[in-house]
Amino acid sequence: MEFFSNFVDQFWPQTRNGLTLGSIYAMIALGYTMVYGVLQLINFAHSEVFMVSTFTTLFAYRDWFNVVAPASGVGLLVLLMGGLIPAMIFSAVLAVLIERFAYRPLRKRGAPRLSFLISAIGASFFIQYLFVLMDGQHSLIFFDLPNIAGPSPQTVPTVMETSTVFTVFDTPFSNKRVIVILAAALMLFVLDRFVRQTKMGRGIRAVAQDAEAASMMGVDINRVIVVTFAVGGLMAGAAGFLYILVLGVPAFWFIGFLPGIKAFTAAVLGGIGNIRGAMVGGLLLGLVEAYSVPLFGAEWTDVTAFVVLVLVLLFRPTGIMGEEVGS
Amino acid sequence: MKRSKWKVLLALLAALSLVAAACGGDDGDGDTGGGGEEVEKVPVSVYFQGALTGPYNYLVIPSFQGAQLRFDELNEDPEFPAEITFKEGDTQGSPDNAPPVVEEAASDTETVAVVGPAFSGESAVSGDTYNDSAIPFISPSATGVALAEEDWDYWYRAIGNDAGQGGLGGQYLAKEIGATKLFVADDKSEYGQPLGDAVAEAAEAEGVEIVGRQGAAAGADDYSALISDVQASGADAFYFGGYDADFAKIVKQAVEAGFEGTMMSGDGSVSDTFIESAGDSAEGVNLSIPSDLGGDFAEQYNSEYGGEASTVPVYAAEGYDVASLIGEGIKSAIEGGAEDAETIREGIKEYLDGLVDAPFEGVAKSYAFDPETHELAAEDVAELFFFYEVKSGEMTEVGNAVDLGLSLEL
Repeated sequence: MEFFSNFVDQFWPQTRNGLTLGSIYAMIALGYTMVYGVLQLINFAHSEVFMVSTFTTLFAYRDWFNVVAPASGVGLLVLLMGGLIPAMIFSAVLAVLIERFAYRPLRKRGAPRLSFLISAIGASFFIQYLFVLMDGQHSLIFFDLPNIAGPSPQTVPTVMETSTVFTVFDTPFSNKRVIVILAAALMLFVLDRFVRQTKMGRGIRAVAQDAEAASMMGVDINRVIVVTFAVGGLMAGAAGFLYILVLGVPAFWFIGFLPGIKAFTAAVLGGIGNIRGAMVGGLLLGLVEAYSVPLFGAEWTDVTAFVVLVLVLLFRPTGIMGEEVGS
Repeated sequence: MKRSKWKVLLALLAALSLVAAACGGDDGDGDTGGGGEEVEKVPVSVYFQGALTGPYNYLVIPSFQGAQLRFDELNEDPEFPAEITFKEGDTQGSPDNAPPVVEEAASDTETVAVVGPAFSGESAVSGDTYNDSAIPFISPSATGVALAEEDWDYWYRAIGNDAGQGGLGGQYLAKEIGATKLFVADDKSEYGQPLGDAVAEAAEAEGVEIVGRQGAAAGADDYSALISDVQASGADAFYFGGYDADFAKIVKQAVEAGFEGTMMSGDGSVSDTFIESAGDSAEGVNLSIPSDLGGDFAEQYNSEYGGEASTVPVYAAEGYDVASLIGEGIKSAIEGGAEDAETIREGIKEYLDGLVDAPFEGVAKSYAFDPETHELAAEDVAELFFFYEVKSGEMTEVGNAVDLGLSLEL
């Protein structure tokens, strides 16, 4: 039973790791689940919305703020906002562009569902490889592509020194992890209120329940869909920024793939189309992945995560919270 | 309309033929300008296979640059009997991307040799094709032990392998670092996993307790769960068998999580990418590599490539030497009467096999290949290995394995 004692020993540190990663999964998962809610479409290009925010963060710190050393105090606050806000904006803009060019033309012509799926995958590849080619040495027909990304990862300057904020059961929580968990909780709360209490939120829920009836009641469906993509983009943008902040990984054209797949899994786990379900699914997936390391070993992380997914779907085919979009 | 289109086409063709003629003229000028005696250079292709882009490219670019440098020198030499076209086969280091690259090299009728494959994983999936096509392929950097067991007649390795690197690495951790509890992780790759096993085995033989052994897939971003496991194990040393981009993330996140033990990795993490990406966290990290980074060639490499040179010239000298070996092979083949790619390939192989009797002195070391395994032949394998520690953001030499009193009893 060595694995069990390992698990008990590492329960708190792994809970901390799981909550951090889970919060990020949850934020990305919201984009999948909201789009599915209103369009019954899996937006596979959502991982690229996440990817763009890592490059925005890179540019904010490397080129706009010229960060050379970690900051503190007011300077740090400015830097954090200066990274977070552009990351959210650029991601939202990309999400809206994807809707405009990859999905709306199909929607107007009443294309079958399969076309949307192919279009989603196509958009994902297009954006990924556009970033690979944007290395300052390629041109697209007449335009010289700018030097933005390229095929190799690019290190993002560190803006923040790591320090321990508090300790729970001998487990130190670093300032970065606290920021990630709090920021995610705050944004998820605001989003939940937005969907439940604002007029726009009511529109989103109405379209999710019955698009045709909603349009007859005077809801502007196109506007609702654009807002849905934009909100999902804002969340993915924040997630990308926090991902870079806490993990210190470089910006990379392929960085969205793994978190994207995981967040999609989280959305299905929680009940695709269900906003609170995405939050629960994200956190649960993060925790399962973290706990699997002391229990079964790091090579079993993905296996464990997907076994849990299968088990949940066996007993609750619509996910933990069910597929109730409109409520 | 139709007629004018044809005219345009004709004009275009005429223009093209003019350009072609001009190019042909250039070639002629180059030949006569090269030297007094007219040597008709045989056109041949040499492919480079490895990660020229992607997350692991700085492990490979220096050896590519080294080889390019040598081929340029050979092409400028009027007495060298061939004109070598050095072609890039970029796999991003992934075995998945290797097959099309291998296919292109093998189907090119002018291919006479391959520099690479750079990594062990891509070597494993590429070797059969090269071997079946009778193309000599010499890796300046793949260290996986299993490659030598494939019985490829046309494969050669210009460096020491991971049996040596793992064995000496384990001893180094025990004797030089003074580790008592070691945690070993790897990236589950063809390269990382056996290297991790070899290190764990050697360290255990030296009396180090192995407190953990994990494998975490390459290309992940969050290693926190693995690091918590390392911390809970009470390890005072951590070894990672894997590549630079992943090791940099692990080192960075381990330092942030407060891990205070010594961290170490092998040649797969000796690169600019590791130093740059891990930043300040890299301080005090130890690395091993079957190559001398500070050799005489480093200066020539830096002056040739200037700003484009890697600050960590990993396997640059080996790349240069492998190109030299291929060049010598081509020369001896053509002098022996070879005229086409097929006979030149055979000639190169003959030359490489013949080195056992008369080793080739390269800029890094002398080269001869074991007739059985095609591994680099050396009197004492330990001599091939060097240890480094990152100090103030630079790879600082700790010493050669022999000088550090480490030895392999293989």
